[in-house]
Amino acid sequence: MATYKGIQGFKIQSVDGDPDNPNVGDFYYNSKAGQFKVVRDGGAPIGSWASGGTKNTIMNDGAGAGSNTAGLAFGGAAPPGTTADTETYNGTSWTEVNNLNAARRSMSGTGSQTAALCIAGGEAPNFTAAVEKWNGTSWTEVGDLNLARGYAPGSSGTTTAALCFGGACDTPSPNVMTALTESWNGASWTEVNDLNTARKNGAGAGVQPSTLYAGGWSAPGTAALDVNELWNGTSWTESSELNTGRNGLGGTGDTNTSVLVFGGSPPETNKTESWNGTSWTEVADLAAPSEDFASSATGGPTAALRASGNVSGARSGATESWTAATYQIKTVTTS
Amino acid sequence: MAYKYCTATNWGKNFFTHEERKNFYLRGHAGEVWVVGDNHHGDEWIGKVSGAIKSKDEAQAIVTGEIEAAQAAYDALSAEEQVERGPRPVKYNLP
Repeated sequence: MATYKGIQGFKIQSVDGDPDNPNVGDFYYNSKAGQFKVVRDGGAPIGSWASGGTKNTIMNDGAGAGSNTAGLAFGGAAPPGTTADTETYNGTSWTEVNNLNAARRSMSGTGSQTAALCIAGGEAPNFTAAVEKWNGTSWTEVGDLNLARGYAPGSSGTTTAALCFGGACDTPSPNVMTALTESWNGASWTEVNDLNTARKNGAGAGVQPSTLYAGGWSAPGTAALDVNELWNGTSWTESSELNTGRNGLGGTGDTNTSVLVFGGSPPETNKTESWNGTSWTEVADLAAPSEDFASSATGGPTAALRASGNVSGARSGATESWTAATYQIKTVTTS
Repeated sequence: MAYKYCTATNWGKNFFTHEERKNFYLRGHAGEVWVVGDNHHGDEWIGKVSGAIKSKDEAQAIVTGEIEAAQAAYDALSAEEQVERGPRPVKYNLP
């Protein structure tokens, strides 16, 4: 009879419990459980959404940054007006911190809980080009975009290297979306190559040289888009489309090869998709269909946050947090 | 898959957990309507959140009413506001 050592050249390690930080591919005998175990890949396929703390200021069309354990949400529509409210999230609850200098809605957000940008936004016909930078304590006005834009343009990156793309402009009309893209170097914005498809309110994720922009909406009377474009630091290239086209969705990721997108409309959806650089895979849904919420910017397919926004048809402070372990330990069976 | 229907108010953290999401189907809808997988895990969750059980027709009526209200609100917006808002809300049937 063949033995494991005879086949593999080494014996199976016997341990008295599952290790804390195993490597994918590890195979061992758990002597305490009396079972053989194997360590498999984790990530988005085994992730799930759980409810999080309720945001203090209920809004839609705000923006977010950070992760599901160190999040930031700011601005938005909070009838009868817009809000400058800024809150941090610690994985359990939201805390009010210093507000934006200028209340606004339908802007874009990127960065971390301690270093973020609030970019453009406003209401037609008075979109703004203003940008504010968050240093972990307060917001400071920094260099304006070349082009004022609203209706939730996309963005990616950090406070020292960011990208802003899409949205709508006052001229020729707020009904005409823009494909214009601008790059931020920490001091000023420079126009770079345009998106292939002009649109607003899609999901931007990644960093300045490696960005993804998925979904959105291009014109009144048309359906939400499933378009997906990738930025390589120089230009945008169309790539594999979302399984579900949508507008007002959220997206998070550290590069354009590892992204999670979620929610959107119409109708409001709870669908969540994971991007691996090549294709989209449907993974576990949000519990509540949602659109126009604040989304985390970092964390990608293993740690995401969906905060406030329109949830199950009404403006809400509800939060959902996505967690996916990077590995899973499976028991080896004979069947 | 069989479902149960209830209304319940999301109180925030731990209203539903990662573990619960893996144990049964759960989907929120307008009007605080929740569609819950019909198994003992789902039943336990309905008890935990003090969910008020509804028939499917009752739940559908709540959701449809909420969407109709949202459609009316959308139709009352200016053309610019409708562009800002995006596509008009649409009705749908609960599973």
